[in-house]
Amino acid sequence: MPKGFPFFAKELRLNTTRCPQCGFKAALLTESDFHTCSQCRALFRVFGGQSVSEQYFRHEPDDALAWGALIGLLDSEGVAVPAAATAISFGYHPFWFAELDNGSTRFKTAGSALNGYPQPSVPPPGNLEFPPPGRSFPQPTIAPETFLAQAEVPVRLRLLQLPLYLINFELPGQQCQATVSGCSWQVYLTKIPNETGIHISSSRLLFLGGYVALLLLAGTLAPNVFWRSSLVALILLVAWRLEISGDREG
Amino acid sequence: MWELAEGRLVPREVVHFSGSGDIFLPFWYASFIINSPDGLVDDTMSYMKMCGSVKTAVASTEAPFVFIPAFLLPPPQSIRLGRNMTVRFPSLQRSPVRDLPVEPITVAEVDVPALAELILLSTLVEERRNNPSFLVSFSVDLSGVRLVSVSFKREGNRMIQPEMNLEV
Amino acid sequence: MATIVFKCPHCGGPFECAEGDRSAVCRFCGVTSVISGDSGVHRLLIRERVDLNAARAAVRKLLAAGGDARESASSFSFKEGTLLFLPFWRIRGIATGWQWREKETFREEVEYDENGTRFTRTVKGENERSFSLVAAPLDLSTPAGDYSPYGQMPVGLAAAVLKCEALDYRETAARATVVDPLKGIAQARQEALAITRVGGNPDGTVHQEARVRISSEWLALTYYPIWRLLFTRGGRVYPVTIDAVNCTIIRCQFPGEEQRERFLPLALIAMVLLGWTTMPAAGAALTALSAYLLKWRTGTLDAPSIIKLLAGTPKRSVGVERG
Repeated sequence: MPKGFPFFAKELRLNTTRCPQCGFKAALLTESDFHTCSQCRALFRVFGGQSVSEQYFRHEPDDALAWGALIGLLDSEGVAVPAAATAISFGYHPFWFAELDNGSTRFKTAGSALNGYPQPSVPPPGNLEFPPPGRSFPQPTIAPETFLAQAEVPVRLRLLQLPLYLINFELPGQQCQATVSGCSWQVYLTKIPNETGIHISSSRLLFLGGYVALLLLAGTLAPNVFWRSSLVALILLVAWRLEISGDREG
Repeated sequence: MWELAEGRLVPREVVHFSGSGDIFLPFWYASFIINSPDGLVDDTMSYMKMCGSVKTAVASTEAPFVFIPAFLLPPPQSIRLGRNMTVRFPSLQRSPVRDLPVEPITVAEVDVPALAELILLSTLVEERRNNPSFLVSFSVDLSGVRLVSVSFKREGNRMIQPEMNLEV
Repeated sequence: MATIVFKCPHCGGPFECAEGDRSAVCRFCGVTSVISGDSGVHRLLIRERVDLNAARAAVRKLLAAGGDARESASSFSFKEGTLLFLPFWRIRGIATGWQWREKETFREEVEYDENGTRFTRTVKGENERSFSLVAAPLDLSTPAGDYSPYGQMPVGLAAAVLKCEALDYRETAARATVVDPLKGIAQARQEALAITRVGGNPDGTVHQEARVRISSEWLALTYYPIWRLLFTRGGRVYPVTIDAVNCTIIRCQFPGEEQRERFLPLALIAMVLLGWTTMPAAGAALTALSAYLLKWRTGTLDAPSIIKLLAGTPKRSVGVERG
């Protein structure tokens, strides 16, 4: 036997892991975290010895629709004061989704970008796809083992990329945050905001100011009670008509 | 003989037992060992002791057998029939008749251990079944699982086996 | 987990694999076989019976029929509609096993005091222990994911009575969104077993043990069709979920009309100013009358309510809501 043979054999020893898609014992042929299963050709990654398949929900971003879903929900919940968006940002956000050996599942964010925003507690329904070649998604910053308890053993671990809109908005007197899922336009809110503030629009203020000024003018300039009452009644009727027509236009 | 497995019929060897009758009813048949806090039960004598049987004629050191009905039967009836077959320790003779119809097999082999455990539990004396630590530790190991069939006689809607005093 | 037995294509020996596995090693010859197909899980589809137009018409009908939203039913405009197929696990079989329960018991005892007054008191009795064999048929449909955004669907009955066909993924995915199952078989089995526990966990149970398994199991993924429609008004989006089999609206939430006092605030201002510009006594009297009217109309006289009324802040009435 050649002298160098044992050394050569040692060099050839390959690390293997279970393919998260087909379960095949796949050899890890590259030095990076990215691997291809030699059986089913699925792309998968390895985090701390754990093979992970990455999947995403296909979505075409539409900020207006996401904002519409949020104010539509507020509207339906009876929040009558107007909400104003201060910032809307769309992005894919990584979540760990583990199926454990006892049949239960764990789902938690794998990044820190969602800090402060309401988060989905279960994976949303949708059509999951494997990322096409060349398309990259945000990398997880939270290791998979940190979100699982010590005794929990995942039989399948997935990194799900969720299309989420992070929205900052304000209602009179309060700043709020919401997350809208691009999968089903589901809105995540910590709670439906209370209408604590009082909101008076500038046009309304102008209308009321003009109305009061006209009434004061008519009240002080009118020569007697009859004229005063008549003028006040006339101004009231005109203002009421304006109010009704304004509603119709609005 | 065909077995209905995964929605398909697959061939299976069946040993036909006992004589007079006009239909064969299939049973899964296996020898068993019971592991329980009261010790290992691996012969007919100790099994009889465990289930409080007063029958001593068949007491022996041979491995006991459990019968699990393999044909379509409502679950409570199936357990009752399996229980009766098991505790009567029938001495089965190969049947000379082979051309009798056989009821289709609907219970898959994969379900035999769970059903066997249930049937054997139902044969035990009540004091044991009311003891949770006994129940939790109770387990059954089967060996030599095979299909047998026993001839029954049709009487109206019923099927009877006079030698073993059984009725379905 | 159910096991499936195959004949090794290399040596002919039998080998087993767990349901859902895609490869298995033969224990006789060591050759790995890749398993293709669906490994014993039937994928069935309940075909939709309602098209997009009928779904839209159902929403219009609902809006026109109910609630305060009917006045503005035509102001909601249809934006888009998607047909979705949601997967449900269907498990049929027989739940077999045993359960043992220890329960506290109490009995009433009648006693008489020294005055001869009759009274009863509750006395703790011996704990009741019961053993029962479980052998019950099982037929459960459970969502293979979280479908709360879409509402509750009565799929169990539908899957039992409607005609199912084998899912042709390519054909279905070309015309609809086929949602992926995210709940595993093991979790669905646990749910199925949990509902079979006879009597649940009645009051007074102090100790309970059970071992129940599913035998004669038949497992399928049933895909159920729903329409997901988006309606808009003034930039707001209102999603609606419609059962694509029987056209019932599973979930929607349309707002009611905004209700605003138009005449009262203007009249009160006019009345107060008329009084104060005439003479102080009239001003005081009409201010008091205004306060009375405000209290009668709004039920309160606190400053925010008065400002809201004068500012014309609307109140929302109940709209059309399902699910």
